[in-house]
Amino acid sequence: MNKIRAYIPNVLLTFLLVFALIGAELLLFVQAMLTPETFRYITKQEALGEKSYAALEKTFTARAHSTGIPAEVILDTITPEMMEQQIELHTEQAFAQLGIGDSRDIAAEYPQMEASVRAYLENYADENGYEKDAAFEEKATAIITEAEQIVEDTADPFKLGTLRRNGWLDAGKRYLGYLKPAVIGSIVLVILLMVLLLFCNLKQKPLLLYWYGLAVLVGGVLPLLPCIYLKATDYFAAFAVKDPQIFAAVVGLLRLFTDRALVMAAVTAGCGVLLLIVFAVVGRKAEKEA
Amino acid sequence: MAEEKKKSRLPVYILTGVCLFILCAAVCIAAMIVPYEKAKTYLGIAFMDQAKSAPGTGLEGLIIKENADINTDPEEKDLTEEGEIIRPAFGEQYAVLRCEAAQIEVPVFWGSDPELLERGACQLSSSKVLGETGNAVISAHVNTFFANLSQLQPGDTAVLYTQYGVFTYTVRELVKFECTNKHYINPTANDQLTLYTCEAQVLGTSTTRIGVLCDLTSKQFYAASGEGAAE
Repeated sequence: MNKIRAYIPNVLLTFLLVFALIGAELLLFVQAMLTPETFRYITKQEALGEKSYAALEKTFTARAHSTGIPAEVILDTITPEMMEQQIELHTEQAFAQLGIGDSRDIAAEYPQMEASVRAYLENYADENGYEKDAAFEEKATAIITEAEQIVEDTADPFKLGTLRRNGWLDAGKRYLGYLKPAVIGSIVLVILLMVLLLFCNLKQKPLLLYWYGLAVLVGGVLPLLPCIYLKATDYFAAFAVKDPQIFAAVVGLLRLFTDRALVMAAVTAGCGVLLLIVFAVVGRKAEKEA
Repeated sequence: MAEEKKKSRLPVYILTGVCLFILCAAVCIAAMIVPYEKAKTYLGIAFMDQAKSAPGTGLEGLIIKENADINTDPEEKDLTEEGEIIRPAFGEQYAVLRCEAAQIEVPVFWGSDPELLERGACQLSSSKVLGETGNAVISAHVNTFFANLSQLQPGDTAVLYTQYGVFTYTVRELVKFECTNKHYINPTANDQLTLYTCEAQVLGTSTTRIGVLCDLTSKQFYAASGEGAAE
């Protein structure tokens, strides 16, 4: 009867510890991964600057038929490195809006592109006797603004601009404000439950290792299973948007998250197994001594 | 006695572990049902590519098929009033448009895409295939294939040659509309051909479209499908 009395609180505390551990893992994971560095890593890893530049080439070449402006007029003023810098700038600005990190207060400007397009249009107007009046100026400004907008949109493969426009970043900022207290809270909860387990097993200290080991093992295996499923099925390859730069950015990011989550869960589960092995060894030794 | 005790504890340890795992997994699954139901539709849309093709692998994207076998000089005796329509694939050239009054002779591709517009005129895949009743909508760039479209006048003829038949239309009306106005590309109850392009502009792109609406005057099919291929 005494054993059952001791067993039930242990099971209950271990059950709660499993979810406290999963919560702590999840919150720590979000805190560790939701940084501009993660996005910068993907930008370099997936060569997003080059992919975005290739997308621009395709867009402006196709548009040349309808606008009459040769693609080179715009493309000669832009490089893959510039696109990479713009991607990083967009990332910084988005994270600054989320309240993570600082942002360089730089507005996106393309003076070389503007000069190149303007020179082409003026030359075209001169050759065709087109009067350079207010209407010309208005059209030229509209063409330059449109070209800049296309470059800006293409230099945002993570679609952070869309998230900003739809108010998701502001909503995210509200929730992320609770992230740090939540991380601390979850760690405190884990420690508290571990201490309670310790009190429940003061007379049988080796058994404490079993309950700890069990909680850590289950708390590691449960997040591990969906990660294995996502990896094994290559789920993210089914991403529907096939624009090379967007596909590489989004799928690269999701795969990175999965890989890191898988490692974290596997390490946690490994710790659980280790604790159970220690329990088996220590428990046997204690029994022999008894 | 001690050995017996030790042996009897092992199944308890294992059973406790297994039960705890099942219980936690069940709680997790139960907790995920509502969020999953909410996210299911969005996930289905975002990850809908069952082939899981990477960009540029050839499993996705445009497959352009040019067709040099369309006969633009068929003999009357080969044509009948009834016949079978051959539905084209997206990116396939399935017709040749000829408007003698405006010196237009252009390949027509099924589907609209920037790459196809570089090669000819494009028929909206949401419009009717030639031979079906409804609105067949064809567009092309103003600075290439439809540069002379504005020269067409009511009464002029537009002929479309396909592998399965020849379709002759007469221009009924000249139209001008904003690119946001979908009225002229919407389905119609009558047999109609809509040809349109951008309004020519010296600088940049125009948001205004110009075009012609044509009525079907003759619909002729080859006696057997594909007979219109070059002899």
